[in-house]
Amino acid sequence: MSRAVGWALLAALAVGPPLALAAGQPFYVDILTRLVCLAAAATSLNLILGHGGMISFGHAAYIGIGAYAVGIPAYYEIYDGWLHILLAVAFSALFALATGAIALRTRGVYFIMITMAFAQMVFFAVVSIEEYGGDDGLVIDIRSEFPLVDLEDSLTLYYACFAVLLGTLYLVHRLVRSRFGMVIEGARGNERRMAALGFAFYRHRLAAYTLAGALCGLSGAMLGNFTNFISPEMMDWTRSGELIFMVVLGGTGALFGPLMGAAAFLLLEELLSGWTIYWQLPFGLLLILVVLFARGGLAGLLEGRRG
Amino acid sequence: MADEPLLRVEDLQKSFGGVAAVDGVSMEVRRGEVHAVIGPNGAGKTTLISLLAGELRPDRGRVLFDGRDIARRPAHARARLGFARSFQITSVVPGMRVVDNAMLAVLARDGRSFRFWRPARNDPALIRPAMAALERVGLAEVAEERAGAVSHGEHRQLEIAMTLAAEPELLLLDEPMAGMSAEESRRMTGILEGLKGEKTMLLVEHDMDVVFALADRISVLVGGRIAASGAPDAVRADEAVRRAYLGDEAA
Repeated sequence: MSRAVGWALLAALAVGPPLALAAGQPFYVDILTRLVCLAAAATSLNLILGHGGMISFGHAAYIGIGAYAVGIPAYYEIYDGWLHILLAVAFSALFALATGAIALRTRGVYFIMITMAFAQMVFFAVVSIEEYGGDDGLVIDIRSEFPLVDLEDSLTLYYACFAVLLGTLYLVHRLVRSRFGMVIEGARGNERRMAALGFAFYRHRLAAYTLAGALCGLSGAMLGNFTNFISPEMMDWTRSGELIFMVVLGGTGALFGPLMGAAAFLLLEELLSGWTIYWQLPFGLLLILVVLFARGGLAGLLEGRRG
Repeated sequence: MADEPLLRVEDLQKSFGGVAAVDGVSMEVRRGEVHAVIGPNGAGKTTLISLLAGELRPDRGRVLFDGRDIARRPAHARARLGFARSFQITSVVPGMRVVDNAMLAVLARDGRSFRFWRPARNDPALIRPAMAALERVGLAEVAEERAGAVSHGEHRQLEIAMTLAAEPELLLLDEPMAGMSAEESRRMTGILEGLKGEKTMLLVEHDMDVVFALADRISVLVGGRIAASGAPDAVRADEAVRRAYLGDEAA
């Protein structure tokens, strides 16, 4: 059931934007572009959080790294899109590898705190660099340039982001079903048993952590292109919290969970912020309800599970 | 090297806060034998098995496996050398299926776990040995169930299946009968009897009927030391053992 809803969501995302344009509502294309970028980021987080049990509270750092991998070259008038993507993925992977190597030696709340601390280091590093606008951010005047593909066209940009989402979903789908995926899932379930069986699963976790960071960097590069404006605020710790919220709301460990979570998140944000400026309050209450009564999230509810 | 015991423990010592839980233990497990370690509560049996499995580091002493000192190697490295441990308190991955748990044991032995693309759950190289191990312990019927959802006795059987699926040289069985009903215990004894002669086993067990039914040799651990070691009849007749341990039960 949750699979069916996931596919239906993807189908709607595939045909929605041209319909929105035809109906004279370009605003919806913007909303959906943001949705698919955030859904891709949340899907990458689900790989480590949902499947690997690694609760990273610093995942937005990779969105920031990916966005600045577009923004900083653009500042120097380098617009080559492939270079942007290479930088976004490479720097995200490197940052994940270096910080994960340390963070993964800790457990539980320490892991949460240390991932958050590393992300805040990037945040403050970017804030302190005046050249790239500090906390005022940086305007991207020209988007990444690719042969044959013009991201300045909003519909083309949308489908590029949608392709990143599809790619991320497929990659995570394959990974969690592979031998590698079995090991990180087993290590989430019972570390002691996995060690007794002979798995040095630290390495598997570090590989998963690095892959998730690299994937999120890619969605960050797309998000940077979309917003045309990047700032440290993109990787604030509250942004990391929102990504966790999407994963938990949608259902940890379910393939389409983060997509549903991101969709529900943006929808609620839209509805509640129109109703009150204190929209985070009902939002928080909702999260508490989900954690208490629907631990499988939306995907779990659709499966008739309450966890 | 045929006479070299598979496992030789020399003067093994481990203290917790000044109290010696294992106090200079030396013993041997020969190839192909079932070697039982018995002893009253607090004798240091669980500490000993944790030292052997590599979950604890000894303060002193050597653990020779196939002639190599492994006393300071971590648990996962020992498992790859051919140790397989079952836990006293059931330790499976509850969220995965029964067959997945057995497949993880096969995968651990196989070693090729950095494969990112091909689906693992229909890989015959994993499924076949996993199912064979489950059949061996009579769990084939519940293979598709979530491991967290099966009964206590079945958990214990799964523990054994996982140690078997890893195709180990040495089975370290930490109280395989713990918390079992008489019926479950009989079935487990039958399973272990079927493995006798085929696998070398170090068995820590409380149930004396099981120990005397299965063991080729018995070591008696009292106060962190080996009080006696030998064939079951000799151990049963040993005066020191009767006083220290068996006598307690008879009284």
